[in-house]
Amino acid sequence: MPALTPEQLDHVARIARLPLGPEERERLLAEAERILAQFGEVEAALARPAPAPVAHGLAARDDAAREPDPGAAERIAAQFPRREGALCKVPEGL
Amino acid sequence: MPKGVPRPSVTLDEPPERVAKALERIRQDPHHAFLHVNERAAEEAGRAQGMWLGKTLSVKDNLAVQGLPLTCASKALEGHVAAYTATVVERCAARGLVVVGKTNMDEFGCGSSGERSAFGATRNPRDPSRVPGGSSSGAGASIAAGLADFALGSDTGGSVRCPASFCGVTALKPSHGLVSRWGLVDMAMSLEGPAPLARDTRGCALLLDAIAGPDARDPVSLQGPAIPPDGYARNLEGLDAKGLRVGVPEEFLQGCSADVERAVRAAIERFGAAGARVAELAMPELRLALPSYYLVCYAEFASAMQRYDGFRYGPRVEAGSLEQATTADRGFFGPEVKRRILLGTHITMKEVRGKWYTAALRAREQLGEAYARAFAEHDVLLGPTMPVQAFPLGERIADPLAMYAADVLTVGASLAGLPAGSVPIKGPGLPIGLQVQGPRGEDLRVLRAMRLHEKLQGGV
Repeated sequence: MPALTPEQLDHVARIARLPLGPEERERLLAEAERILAQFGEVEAALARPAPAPVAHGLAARDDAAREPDPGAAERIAAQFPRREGALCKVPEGL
Repeated sequence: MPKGVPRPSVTLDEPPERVAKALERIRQDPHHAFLHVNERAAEEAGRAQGMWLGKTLSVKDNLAVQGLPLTCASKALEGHVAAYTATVVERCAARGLVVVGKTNMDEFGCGSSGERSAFGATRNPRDPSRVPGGSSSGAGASIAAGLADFALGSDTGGSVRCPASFCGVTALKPSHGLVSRWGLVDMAMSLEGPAPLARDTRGCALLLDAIAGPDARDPVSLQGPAIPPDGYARNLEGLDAKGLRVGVPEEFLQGCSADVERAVRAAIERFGAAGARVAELAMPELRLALPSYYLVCYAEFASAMQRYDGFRYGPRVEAGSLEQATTADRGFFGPEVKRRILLGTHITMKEVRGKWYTAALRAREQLGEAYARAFAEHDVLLGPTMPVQAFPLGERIADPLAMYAADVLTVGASLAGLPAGSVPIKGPGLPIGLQVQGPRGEDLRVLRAMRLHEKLQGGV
């Protein structure tokens, strides 16, 4: 299985807000494949496996859009020590 | 001269007109070491105060100097001017050093040759057909070409040690956290830091005296290593080779060119002949250093680069939507910058994080443990800085893996946060650097070993 499929590359480029021309896309795909294939040896070469006495998953949620929470902004702003409407007032810096 | 302060490698008390002459040489520099000349430098030299009055400093173009451009050698920051001055530059100015200009570099620190600048490559003053090394390419070239007395670069995976080795000058990557990163454009925050370059070890020690120490504006530096009570330059001399425990990881010499191996072994033998206890050791964890470094670097770099959106920084591009405008602005990045952002974004995605990024973090931890075991038995580790001498311009630019391979000997110290210096080995032909590594916080020990090497090989 390739380390990075064309669909994954397109998805990553969109997340990272990077424009890619067609030639650039092909080149990056080939380079990423070579690089990640070579670097993939890290996991295999580690001297001991990761300690995992209890099975657990990563805390991050799926990369999927959610409906915005209309009350979230006010709940967050209510916690500001000093506020001006929805804005947090901070000491003058640079 | 204050009592007890060692005489630096350059003469004190020269007139400020020296700065004006330095600017003239910089304007005529054929090596493209500088991106921007500080036209106010001669005037600033007239107002400067401090023990290094009139001495010149070049600053890598990823360190902020108020009023001067701050481009990181990227079109994405073309025209950007720094609104404030980095802590390390402030501290140098307080001692009388005058900033003569901003030096060329690989774009956003992404490179090991000096060829990835969006504004043209720097050439090696020792052989203009060859690379000067990167990413602090202009910093190294500015010292080698005599265009500045001191240079500030930054080192994430070897970015001052590589140009020092290729250009035949001296550099030190300080222990992580010893030097404030305030005013350094963020690349990979767990790896990077400002770093000094100079003609010799004493110059590096003097510059480290100026820049080291906690800074409230960089929280990491508040937990950094302690500075020796009298500083670094005052304590540079007097390391006796007798009894010094020198370790030479066998992995350091594997894959080096014959010339590099021959020169480094000769340098190490001089330590032994002077009474040091030299021993080879095996550190198999070092073979994971290069892939681990790049995986960690990709992840941190992708995060650091999110801020360049055409609104907070970078040229504003008119487009139909916010997303289109941001995407268009980020099109100004060069190919290596784009490659690292893409790979960093990919390997930190939830679905694949464990395969590369988490594995790299575990490898990093094991490498740190391996270094700790090594330093329990040895005072310093010696080896080549770079596996080869400076290669021809254009030789590796098309193959990212070939370029990454140049960092194989420098990234280990970066991952472990250790101090590591590069000091030239005398000899014919292209320059070769000896790398000295020490335990975290033992920057003085590393500098003293570098100084001992200079004395053992004679002439300094």
